[in-house]
Amino acid sequence: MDLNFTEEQKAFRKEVASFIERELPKDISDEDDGDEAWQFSLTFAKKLAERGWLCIGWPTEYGGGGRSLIDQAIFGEEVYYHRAAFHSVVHAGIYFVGPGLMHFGTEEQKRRILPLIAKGEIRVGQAFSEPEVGSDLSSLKTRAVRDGDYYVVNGQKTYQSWARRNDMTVVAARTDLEANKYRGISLMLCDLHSPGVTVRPLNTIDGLSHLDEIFFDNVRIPRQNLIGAENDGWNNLATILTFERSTSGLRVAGARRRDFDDFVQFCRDARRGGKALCENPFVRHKLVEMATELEVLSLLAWRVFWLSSQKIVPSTQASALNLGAKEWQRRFVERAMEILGVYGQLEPGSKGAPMNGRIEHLFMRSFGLSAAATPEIMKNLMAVRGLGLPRG
Amino acid sequence: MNLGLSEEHEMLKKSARDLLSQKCPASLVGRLEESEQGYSSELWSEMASLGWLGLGIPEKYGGSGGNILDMVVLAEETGYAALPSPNLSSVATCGQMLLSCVSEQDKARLLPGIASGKTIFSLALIEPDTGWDLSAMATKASLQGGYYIITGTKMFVPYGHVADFFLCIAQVKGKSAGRLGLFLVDAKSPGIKITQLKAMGGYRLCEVIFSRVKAPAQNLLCDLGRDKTPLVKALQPGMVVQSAEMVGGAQKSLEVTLEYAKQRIQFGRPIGAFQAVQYKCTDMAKDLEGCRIITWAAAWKLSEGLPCAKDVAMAKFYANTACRRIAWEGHQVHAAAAFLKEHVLQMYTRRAMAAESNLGDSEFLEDLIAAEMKLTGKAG
Ligand SMILES: Cc1cc2nc3c(=O)[nH]c(=O)nc-3n(C[C@H](O)[C@H](O)[C@H](O)COP(=O)(O)OP(=O)(O)OC[C@H]3O[C@@H](n4cnc5c(N)ncnc54)[C@H](O)[C@@H]3O)c2cc1C
Repeated sequence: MDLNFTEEQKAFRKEVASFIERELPKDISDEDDGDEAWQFSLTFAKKLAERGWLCIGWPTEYGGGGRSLIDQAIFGEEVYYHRAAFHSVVHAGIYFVGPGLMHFGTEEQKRRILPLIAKGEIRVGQAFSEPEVGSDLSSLKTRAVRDGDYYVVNGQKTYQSWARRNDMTVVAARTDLEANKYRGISLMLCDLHSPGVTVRPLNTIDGLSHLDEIFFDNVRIPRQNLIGAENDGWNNLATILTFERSTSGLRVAGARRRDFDDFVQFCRDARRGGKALCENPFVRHKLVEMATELEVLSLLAWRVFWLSSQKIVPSTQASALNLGAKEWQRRFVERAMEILGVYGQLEPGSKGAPMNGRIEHLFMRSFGLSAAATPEIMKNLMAVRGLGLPRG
Repeated sequence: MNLGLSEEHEMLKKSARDLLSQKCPASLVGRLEESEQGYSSELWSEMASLGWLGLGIPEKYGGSGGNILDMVVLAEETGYAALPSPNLSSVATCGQMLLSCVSEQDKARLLPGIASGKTIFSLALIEPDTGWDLSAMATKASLQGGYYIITGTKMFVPYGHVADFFLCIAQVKGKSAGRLGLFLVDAKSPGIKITQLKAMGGYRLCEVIFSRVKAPAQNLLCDLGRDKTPLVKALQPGMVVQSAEMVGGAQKSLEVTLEYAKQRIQFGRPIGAFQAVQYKCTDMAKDLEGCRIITWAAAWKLSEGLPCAKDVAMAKFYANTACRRIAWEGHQVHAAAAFLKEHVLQMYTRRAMAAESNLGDSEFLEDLIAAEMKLTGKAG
């Protein structure tokens, strides 16, 4: 057991942090979904890529930095901690769609697509959920029919993270209607600029527009974009989702830690009835609980990174982390709202809003916790796969 | 013993449900939230003409002579419809404050306007850094030549932008220094600056700055003393009515969720067939039942004039935590569907969260309950 980072790892962390602090303008917020912020984040991702950092844990032949997963996690943690301009837009490419391609894409696909992601040239997403299909993905209805060298795709996907900012997405579509529902699904990479693709924004309650619907109307996808074998997409889809879930640690150790640190600082600075807020026993109790739980989660997160870097699939630990992260986020916003009391309800931009409404925003955002899987589905998976309990 | 509603209550409930489901659909609520005024004058007049605004006001002051329990029955329905209006603040909070603590003459002068909906009152209580710590209040009123000069900043003043009068709570300087007073302030007085806040709850809240605002000496309607007890007592009807609105909202959240659980199919069956989902729904129903009965009990005691400081605080405290749980469970069952603005559930969730700190946040209420429980050790 050794909880220390190596000297190189420490130096790397420092280098990333000071680069971001230097390059990130103070007035760019990760909660800004406007075009200007978007343009900035494109440039910024490229700058990170130029230094070989964006996909530092990927093999060099695919445009990565050839370093360890630990370095990738250090990088991710710092980027999230510093709220560096929409890291969540590139998250899918770096942490789960890219790795998915690496596992079951063709060599041609890897050489064609992965370097574009690693250079910050394109952003990718995953188009799985449909209006009638969320947890039960194997029932998906989007159709793909072979037509010579193409698949012709029709259907609708929903709750698509950043679809309008993405260039490509991995579509899960049904290619065999006769087969058992797990056997007729294929994954394919769709260029979102193709004719027949329509992206329509959804309005989410956190006041940020980051979810879209995608409509596919006779969209032609070249067969060379088929990922894995035809009709054999189900297991690959599940693997991509597993990758997604095991990166929740980055958000915990980075983004959540930052939210918490800022909130603690706020409680030191703010005064209520002539005393610092943090001196109130009601407040201290909550802060201490949150800090302890966050410490546990951060350690779990690093355990999952470490296991992955040792090529061990962290199944139970990743589920525990994912569930714990969702629960913590929820408890954090609830307790923070209790601490802010009557002021907590003020939205970003309102006069008198504490932390300019950050907690209110995070509170509303916490209702989007079904991203990647609902807690119940995570628990089902964990019970059956992780704990060996009989299937319900 | 009778732990149910009377026939008249059931009738009131039904007529309110019928009217509001017709005249206050979710689409209207959404539009009103975005509108300049924040509520519908038309509906407000209709509520007045139905006698809803005068429910808890004696007939001699222009009301219909009902009590808090009647107001609670109605509030469950306005909460169920998520009706945005100054009802809670002007009628329940200010109206009942006036009724409980001002002179006969002032009641006769002020209450008829409230009952008819023609005058809108708003309570100016919370300050920028007091929270619910009422002892930290900094707004001051000093007597100079027959006028009180009031200076201070008040936040979360409900519908302050349309109020005719503020009931401003301020420290009385001079003769009776250190005491809190209830001041009637004409909203058009020089020196008042009103700014709308952006708050999650869908009700309009304002910051009101009083800079040397003059109010005639007789506008000190009530001396609330040095201790917060009289003020808290005056707020009790408002607290109970707020709890009842929360109960109504939670009822709607439960219904919307049950409907979705029956109709949303995953894995070949309605999600409501999964025990994980059933347990969420049952938890919601359990919390709701508790919330409703403790609110009714507090309202009944208040109506009967029985001691009820603990009951009222407990009702609001339980509503605070239970309604937040209900909102959260409802969202869990809906998963991504209720993360969208167009979904009706989120409107109720925002309301519930804002209601949690209105007329007593949990920390404040916990203190009240602890005091009622005499949770203080022996001195020495
Ligand atoms: C912020 C955000 C980002 C997202 N990004 C993407 C994206 O980029 N790409 C994408 O494809 N999708 C995305 N999603 C969708 C996400 O994957 C789905 O929300 C998730 O899979 C759940 O599906 P659902 O919302 O349709 O809920 P449903 O599956 O309809 O679930 C409803 C309720 O039923 C419960 N339930 C269902 N089945 C069972 C069961 N067997 N046992 C017990 N309980 C059950 C659920 O737990 C939940 O409580 C995103 C969602 C959010 C909120």
